[in-house]
Amino acid sequence: MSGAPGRSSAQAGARPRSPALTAAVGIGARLLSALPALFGVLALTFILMRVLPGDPASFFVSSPTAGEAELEIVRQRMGLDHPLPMQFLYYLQDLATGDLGTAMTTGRPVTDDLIERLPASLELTLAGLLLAVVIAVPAGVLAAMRPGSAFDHAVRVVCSAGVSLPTFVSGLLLIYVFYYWLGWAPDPTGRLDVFAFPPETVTGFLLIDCLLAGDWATWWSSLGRLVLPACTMALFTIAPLARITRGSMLAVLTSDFVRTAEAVGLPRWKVVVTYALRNALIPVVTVSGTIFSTMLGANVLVEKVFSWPGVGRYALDALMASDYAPVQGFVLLMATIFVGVNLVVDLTYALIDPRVSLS
Amino acid sequence: MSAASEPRAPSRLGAAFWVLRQNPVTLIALIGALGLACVAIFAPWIAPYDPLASGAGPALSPPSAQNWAGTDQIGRDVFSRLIWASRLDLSIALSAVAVSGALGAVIGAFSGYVGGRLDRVVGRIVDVMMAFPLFVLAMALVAALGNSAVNIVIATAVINLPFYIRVTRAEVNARRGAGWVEAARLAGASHPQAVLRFLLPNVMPILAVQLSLNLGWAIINAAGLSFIGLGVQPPTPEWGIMVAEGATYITSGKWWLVAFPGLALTLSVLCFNLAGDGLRDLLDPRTRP
Repeated sequence: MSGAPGRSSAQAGARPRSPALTAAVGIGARLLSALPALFGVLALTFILMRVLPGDPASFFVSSPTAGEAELEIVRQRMGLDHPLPMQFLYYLQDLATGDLGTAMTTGRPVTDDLIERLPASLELTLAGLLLAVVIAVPAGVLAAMRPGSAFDHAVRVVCSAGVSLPTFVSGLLLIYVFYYWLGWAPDPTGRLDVFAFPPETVTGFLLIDCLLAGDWATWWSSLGRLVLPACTMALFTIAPLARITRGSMLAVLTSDFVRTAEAVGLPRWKVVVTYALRNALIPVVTVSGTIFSTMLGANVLVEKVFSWPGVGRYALDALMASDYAPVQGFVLLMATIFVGVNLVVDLTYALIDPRVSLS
Repeated sequence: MSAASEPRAPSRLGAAFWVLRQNPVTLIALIGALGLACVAIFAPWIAPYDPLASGAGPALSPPSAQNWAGTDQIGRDVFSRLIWASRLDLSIALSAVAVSGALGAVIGAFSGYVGGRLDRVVGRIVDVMMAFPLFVLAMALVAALGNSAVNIVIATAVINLPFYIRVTRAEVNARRGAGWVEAARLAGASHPQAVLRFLLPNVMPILAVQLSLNLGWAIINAAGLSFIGLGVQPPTPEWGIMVAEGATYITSGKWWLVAFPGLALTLSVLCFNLAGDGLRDLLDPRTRP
């Protein structure tokens, strides 16, 4: 478990601190504890990408038939003639200035490319997660309220099936049913209609940008294009979420405070929604961090299926062209987001559960 | 029937049968997994056509009596390709899970047994690995190592590794102070012997559950890698590749190219997942629903 380090707890008893200071110290310690993981990620991506096949220098020479002398000059300019540890130091130096290298496939800095495409991926992932939570939490709660009922069994079957269905298959089948067969969904060619005018980019999230521009037609069209990929993402996310919700709700419903609340005569829905659910959701929040990371990985597959112009497809295209800077940037971005999400989950955990303290 | 009502000493086998009868889903899953293995082993005798030869029927024809799952874009029989693909897909998943299970168990067991600095280092490495979106890590690995079935096995094994290390480490750590471990040590077993001969067999049941649950995940990951064009290359029959090839034709309504390999993937993953859940219930009555 990547929990809070226990070092500061020894000092805590020495002198009473203000709660705000304790919290600040806790957050600081938690941030520091994320650093080794982040450094490991950096080293791992660096090593992985350096053993990638193909000589990156050969992409930068003027012609495919360039001589060895010109290749050597390019290698020197790219720092490829230095020993690996030095190359790693240069890499860290570049990273510190936000420089992830240049993508050969687009000819632009990787940082710019990633920033441009990240909102598309985040929009898709968050929409999928939201959809999954909206479906999974009520389903899990209802299943827990009547364990062993037909509904409980139905939830279990749907969950098992959903988690066994690979995302790329479910996405394609959704396209078949809703685009080809029923004709309800737009063609799976990205987030914006070919003939639609994109709104002015403010946040990069199409739905928000359209709202800001007051362009309802484009908003509606891009929402329509988001539905199928988001459903695909939600399909395999619902299962773990519903399972955790059911399990933790079952445990909470048999606890003393729920029995007391019922004995006092509070209405059933109030007991369930106000008291039980709030406590049952704590493990759900924890698990959502792991789920988010799985979704980030699945993004690559879903973006490929729906031609979604996100970071996953960008990295995939680069990978196919053995262009390693974008892949490296992508892996780093994903890992950083994941470390960040885990941090936020830990902090949220401390916020919603007063028994957990950060220090 | 009468035997069940008589009180008698519960044997493990007897308990297993009792659980299986109570839980027919597990039984079906186990039979399904067994059937899948049979299909893979006897593929050359089951498949009606050569999986690589075109001309099994007109190209892109829907399922018919002649081609049970239709034909693909160059007239190969999809059903025969499905049968042959089960060989590759199952052996990739099985070997990946076996490699990472064995390696992870040994690393985790020693780390949990020795404790101290080694344990902290291993724990940190596991944390770093878990800090990666694992599918992305597998992608990067295959890209770095090159496209081949063996490299898919390696990549899938690596992303499974942290789970085994974690489980074994926790279980061995909880048992290392137990009386029977001390007894083994006093009887003259060395530290490695204590770990390999006494502690590891003791955590084997828990590992078996993890293995079964991870098999399904390994299948999905390996197929996903082939789907995006990494690893096994066409024209090899493989479920992920078949879905990828069929993806081009889904918007023109050729559903069978995606649906059948998708069904094969889903069913095999479902079998292993349900069997794993059943195994867990069998070993740990507390989690029984």
